[in-house]
Amino acid sequence: MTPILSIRNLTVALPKGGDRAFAVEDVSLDLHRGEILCVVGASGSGKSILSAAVMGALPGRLAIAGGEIRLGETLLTGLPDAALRRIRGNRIAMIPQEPIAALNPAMTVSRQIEEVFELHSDLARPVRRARARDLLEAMHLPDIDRVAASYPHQLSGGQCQRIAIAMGLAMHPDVLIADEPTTALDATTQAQILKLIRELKATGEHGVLFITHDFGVVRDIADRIAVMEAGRIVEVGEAARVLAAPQHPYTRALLAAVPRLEARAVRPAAEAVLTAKGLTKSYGAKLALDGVDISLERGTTLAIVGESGSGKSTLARLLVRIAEPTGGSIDVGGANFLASRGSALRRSRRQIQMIFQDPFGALNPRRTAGDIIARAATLGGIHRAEAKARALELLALVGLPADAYDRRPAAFSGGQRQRIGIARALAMAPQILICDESVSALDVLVQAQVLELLADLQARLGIAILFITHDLRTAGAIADRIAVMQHGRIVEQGDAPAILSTPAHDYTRALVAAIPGLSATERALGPSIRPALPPLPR
Amino acid sequence: MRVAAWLGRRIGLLLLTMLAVSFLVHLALEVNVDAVAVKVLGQFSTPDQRAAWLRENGYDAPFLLRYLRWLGHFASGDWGRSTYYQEDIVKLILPRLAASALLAGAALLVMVPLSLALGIASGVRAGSLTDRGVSLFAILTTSVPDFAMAAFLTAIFVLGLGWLPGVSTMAGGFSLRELVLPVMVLVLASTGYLARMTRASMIEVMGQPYIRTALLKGASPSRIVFRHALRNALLTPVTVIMLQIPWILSGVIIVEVFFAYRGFGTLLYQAALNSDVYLVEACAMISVVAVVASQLLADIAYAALDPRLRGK
Amino acid sequence: MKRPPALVIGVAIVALWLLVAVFAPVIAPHDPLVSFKPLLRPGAAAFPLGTDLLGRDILSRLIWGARPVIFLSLAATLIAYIIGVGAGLLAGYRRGVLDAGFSFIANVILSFPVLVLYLVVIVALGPSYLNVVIAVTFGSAPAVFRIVRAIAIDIAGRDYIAAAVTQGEPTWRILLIEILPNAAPALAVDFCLRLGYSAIIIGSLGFLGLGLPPPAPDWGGMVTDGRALAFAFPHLVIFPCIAISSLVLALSLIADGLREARQ
Repeated sequence: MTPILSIRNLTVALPKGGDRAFAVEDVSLDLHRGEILCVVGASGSGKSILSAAVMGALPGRLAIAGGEIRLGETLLTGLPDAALRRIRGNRIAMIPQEPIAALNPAMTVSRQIEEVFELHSDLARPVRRARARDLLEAMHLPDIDRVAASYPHQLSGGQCQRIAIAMGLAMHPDVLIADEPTTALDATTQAQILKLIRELKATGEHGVLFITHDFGVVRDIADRIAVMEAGRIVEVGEAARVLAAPQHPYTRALLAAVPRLEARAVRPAAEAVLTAKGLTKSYGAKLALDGVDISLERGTTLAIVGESGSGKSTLARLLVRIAEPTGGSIDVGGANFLASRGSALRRSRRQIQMIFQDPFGALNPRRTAGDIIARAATLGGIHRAEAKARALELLALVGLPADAYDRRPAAFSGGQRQRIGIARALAMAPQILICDESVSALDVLVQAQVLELLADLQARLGIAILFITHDLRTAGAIADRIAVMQHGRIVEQGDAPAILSTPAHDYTRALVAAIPGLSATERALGPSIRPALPPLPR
Repeated sequence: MRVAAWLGRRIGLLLLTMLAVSFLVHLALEVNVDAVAVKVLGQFSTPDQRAAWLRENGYDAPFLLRYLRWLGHFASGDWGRSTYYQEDIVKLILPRLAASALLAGAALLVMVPLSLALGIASGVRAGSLTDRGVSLFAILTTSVPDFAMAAFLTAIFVLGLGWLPGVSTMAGGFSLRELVLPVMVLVLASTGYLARMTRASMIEVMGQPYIRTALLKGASPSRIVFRHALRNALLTPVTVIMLQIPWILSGVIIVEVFFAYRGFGTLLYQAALNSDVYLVEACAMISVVAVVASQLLADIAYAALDPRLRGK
Repeated sequence: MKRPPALVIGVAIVALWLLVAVFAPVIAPHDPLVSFKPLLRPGAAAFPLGTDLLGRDILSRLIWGARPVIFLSLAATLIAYIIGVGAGLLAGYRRGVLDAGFSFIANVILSFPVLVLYLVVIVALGPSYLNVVIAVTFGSAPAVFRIVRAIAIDIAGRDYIAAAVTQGEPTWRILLIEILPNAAPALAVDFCLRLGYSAIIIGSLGFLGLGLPPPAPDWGGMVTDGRALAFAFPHLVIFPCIAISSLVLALSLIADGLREARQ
């Protein structure tokens, strides 16, 4: 069978003065109809540039330096822009990464889908509208008429992604390119979108080029896998073969870094260092947190798992008192934390420190790493003269070289910055660390390293960790106990192995089922329905 | 419904602002009653005359009461008499306001399309030759004070080329030729700034993911700009144009004085020069009303353009 | 860091005017108030830019006229910055009632067209150098406040501020060490623009014959004095206009250069 998309020796040059000469180097791939080809790689591996090159829409200063891309019989490389425009959105379509941002905020959803017909067909306006509606229906969207007349901001991320997919499918494209289409979505929504994409594959009409960093997702949907590292394809093959017997060391490292869904051994109970009871927070009429009880014991890890909007970040902010609760109590080390005010509060804050999600926003760009850590040490009670020595010790402890002391945050990678953030928190000698999605912005290999560092520090220093995450796999890898949050409440909590193996609450079961890469996924979501797409408008 | 509540709040806040402004103006100009008497009766009046005048005109009442009385009069359209022109202020102001509205309106009519066009052209292709040219034009024109711009343009078009008259007294009735130079000064003073704002907004929008979506749909560059970018990019400039009104009003005063145009600006100027307290008060209030009204218009325009404001 | 040419040119011109203003008594060839032969055209011996109606040397008056424009706008802008930065940081970081109060005051003042505001202040207080500074400060501080407040709100939402709070940093350190340095580049750009803006206002007040007491020379006043004769003697008006435009343009160029260097 001839491939629908064929890439031969493709090379894309980067502007001079970058960290490497080529964004994509000598890449060859084939994609067939009815197949999902996953391109896997860390950020910066060139996988998104590859997809842009296929669409003939490389950003500004990048240019194809060699090789060719063929769509069926058509040679895409070197095609004039007007001809490419007739192919984009028509024979090749893109499913975007951030669905809400990818839709025009000032146009109704229906108009945005109709526009595809306007660009690529001669259909009359009423027909275009009817077809847009049919497409929305085929995407299993509820309340079609309301959705069609909505603006993107009025819909959820999952709904917007379905609309973006509908837009992509409008002309029955030969090739669908999905660039991290579920990264910005919650786990349960992700599972549904992945199911939808599998259904599309089953129609046998399209070839799907699926770009992702997540091997869980790959395990779920890939027919074949291509692994990219620094612009090159290091391994390509049938999914089952690559997953079971990876050949290249990089593939093996990536696979090893994916947390397994298996809980660690639970440590014996110790005395509680942090207790919150009936914690409530409302913003006007909206209740963000509704009577949350948690207890964290010395030297153990409690993972709070929930999707966006579940209130888990609000909980973190209340516990470190960046925000004040509307009701409830917080005890730290046996003392009422909420009672302290003013300078007494500033002193007691050092017991409970936070590691933030975004390594790029958590460090003041104008201060050096050493200054940041040394200042924290001073605030933690160490004499100013000894603060520098302490900061250097901490840099070594988190695995950074001593010359990091005088450098500003811009000089570090995401993982290194997260290490600096950890050193800053440790400088205050806290009993408790609150980690708010502290690894979710990092590449999978770096994620594993940072998690390892946290576990190591916990073992050495006996710190209690409250780990907030959307990812049950990560929670299972490090936590003794897990609490699952939904709509501002804890719906279930208990020992990690129990939660993962025998979840009691429906929502927990749904979360476990939604974990990509588990065979359970298929079973939990039931049989798939083939989407009935409206016929071709030609 | 949310928009209505939001607009209601905005209007309430704007009314409160006007109240505070009226209090400030009154405080600044009339808290010192002896100074008021001197300004109204002149420097050569005797202390007895002033005392008698103050008594007759209710200035022995406490300040707050005088303020409320003045506010009541102002709200009911009784703005008092000008001491310099010896005329009823309402009759004095209305024709002058109309003349200034003509001037400012003509300026806006040229300025808005021109600045939007320049801003879009340079924002679509940032770094291009057009872009650099517009930037240079913007820096040059915004750096020249209105009176200097008026002087330069007079030197070129009146003294040098002899194309246009150097004053705009409209002595022989309305004359379009006399309107050209004042309008040109106002246009040049603000176009560059507005164009830069439009450019920045356009550049920001062109970098948004939905613009890429449109590109990947197969939309042509012109369609991307006009169908997808423009409406979103115009949000900022529309607001900025409205917020630019106070600045344009300041320019109007300078331009009117320079070209001896008989408008609201020269009236306020004469009132200030001659310490015509009541006329200054009335003019200040009128200009604040104009500014506040333009802010309200900006809010409404924003609400009309941005569907995101219409809520979930 | 690369230096954009706009920055270099701007700094050079501003430095030149600053030197002229500071050393006016040394540089000026004549006493700016003494009358010689009236209405000499530019190029006359000893009077390179000519003389005005009263026979005063225009070059010397330009040199002396740099003083009020530069010194007064510098003073007014600095004071406006001290007030605006202080209030803006506090309001943007603390929010709440304090912010609402400060913002309302700023909105009230900003709802005057600037020149109307200055006219009211000058009519109320009378013309003097001090009152010009007060008027310009009064008009600028709320604008500075707004900008600083917006930047402070943005920065206050970043995680490194949350980190500083959880470490127990006192508020003054958060404002001055965590927020202000990150606001500084944007504020430097605004400072230059605002300085130019103040110069325009002071020139305009001089042009309107309000604020700066005669006969001391100032650029705006020179334009007004020369206007009646401008048809026959355009140099009376053009030179002071070039002077103030070059100063403001230089400040704009610095602002533009700083903005470019930041990106």
